[in-house]
Amino acid sequence: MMAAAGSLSWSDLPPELLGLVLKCLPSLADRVRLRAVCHPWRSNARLQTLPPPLPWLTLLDGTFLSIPDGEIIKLAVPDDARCCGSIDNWLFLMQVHGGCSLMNPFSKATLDLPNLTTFWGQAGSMDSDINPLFYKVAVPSPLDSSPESLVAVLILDNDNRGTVCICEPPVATDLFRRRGMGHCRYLYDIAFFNGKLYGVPFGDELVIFEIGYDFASKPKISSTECIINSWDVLPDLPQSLSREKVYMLRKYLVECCGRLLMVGRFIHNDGPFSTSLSFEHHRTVAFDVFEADLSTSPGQWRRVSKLGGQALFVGQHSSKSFAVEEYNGVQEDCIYFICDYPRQVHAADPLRDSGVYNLRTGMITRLLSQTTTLPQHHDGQWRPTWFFPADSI
Amino acid sequence: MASAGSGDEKAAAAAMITLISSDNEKFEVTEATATLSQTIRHMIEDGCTDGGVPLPNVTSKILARVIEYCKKHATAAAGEEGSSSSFSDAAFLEVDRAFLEELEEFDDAFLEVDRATLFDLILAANYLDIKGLLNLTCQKVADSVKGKTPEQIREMYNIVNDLTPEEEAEIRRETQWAFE
Repeated sequence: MMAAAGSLSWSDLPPELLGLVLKCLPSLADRVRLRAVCHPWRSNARLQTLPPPLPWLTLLDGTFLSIPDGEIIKLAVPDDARCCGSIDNWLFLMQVHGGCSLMNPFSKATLDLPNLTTFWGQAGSMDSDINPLFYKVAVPSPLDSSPESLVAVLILDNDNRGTVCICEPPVATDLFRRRGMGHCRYLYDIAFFNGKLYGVPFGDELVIFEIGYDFASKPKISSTECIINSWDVLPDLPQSLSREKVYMLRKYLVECCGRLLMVGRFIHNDGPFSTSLSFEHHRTVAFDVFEADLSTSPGQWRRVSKLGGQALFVGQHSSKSFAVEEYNGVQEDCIYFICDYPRQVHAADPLRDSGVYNLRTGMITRLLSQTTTLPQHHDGQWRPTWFFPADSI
Repeated sequence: MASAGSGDEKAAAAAMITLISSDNEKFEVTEATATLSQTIRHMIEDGCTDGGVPLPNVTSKILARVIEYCKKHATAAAGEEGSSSSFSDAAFLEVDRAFLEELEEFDDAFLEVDRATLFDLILAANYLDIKGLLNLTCQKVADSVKGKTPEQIREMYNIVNDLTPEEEAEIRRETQWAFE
């Protein structure tokens, strides 16, 4: 009772009030440490349902950067493995000898995948100097709840060719390459949406990969179809951009509250032309978001100016929409981005061109809070990707 | 119920309510101030405020602070309402911004209290159901523990570590990463 407040200690904080404090802590590490203060807090915290904590960003040296507080976190992963992508709270790991797996670093649950590099090389004649550069892994439903899930992997090589690999872990069951020359065979991104696999190739197309099962009940890409083909109605550049300038374009496919979004990212070289190949001075200047309207045939892209209470975290190895909550500090209608280019064997510092783009105002703010200094010296073999730790207490 | 106030104030805003703390001190506040508390608002709606509202869970020291908070925020709310009809949009936004800045400064200063008072304010805000004050105080606690170790938090809030060795071991095993 309040009258006796003087004799009460902070450890007696009622569970629902402890819950309110926890809700104001968007960082999982802060929540974990608060729960470890005393016995009542530990047991009372279990009664609370909390919104998901904010994501982490993998740094090249194998550590994780907590957003927006900038705390560096070290999680145990097998020594000889490096992270080459992620899905939610699972890491896509590749071992020195090419072994691939998905691992939840908290529960240590592991899903073995085939050696994707070997499988990629088996299919079709490739020059020996062409190698896979980059992987994006996608699943139709969360791995925590469907561990038997089939897995699709987009593999891009240094010849700008996109290959889609279908796996029924631990084996690969199909490999698909777009035919044609030049840009036609490029794929920016793949994503599952309502159980179906979609891809965005060069241009403004949207392709659906129909996955069927062959006589041996193995999942295969049975057909591909271009369901949005809008070469003739190229959307205008975002208003803030100049037609006089040259922009590098990146595209992401993201599922967001029952909508399939294509996020276009415009990057400009701020430095002299001679620096354009090093990408040192490239900076993101704008984003453009389109929703796939599949109610017509063919479908069409519709520009979106609001994200309906969501924020998008985009990256070439993983993109995800995230609910904006009163306390989590995530900004509505914003796109959180990192430097995920150029596609080279060794990734660039993910913070070099990072920020939060506000879709309504066109303003870009810092990814980390104002008071946080950016971590330095984190070279390494990992690829930068978003990681969404689950609060599973 | 006391009545009347200056001419242009709404009658409801000028109506006075008496709040009685656990140590039997009486505080006269306007209804507008008192109704920031949902608990008191419901009592007023139910017509059970004649003769004062006893608040056996709140000491006079804490009630005085709570009233200070409610007065400020009730004034701010009234100011915003008034300004919307008499200013152009731009001027309204300007006034709005000034109000918000002033309120923020007030809130920051208001939270400069010792840990025991903060604790009592949280309990009072919860009991009186004052959402703004509850959020503000809980946020203050959250901000104070960000980046801190459990040991630092215990020190800050004068909490005894009563975890069993088994619990300690379990915490380390499951979430070692958060303690490095």
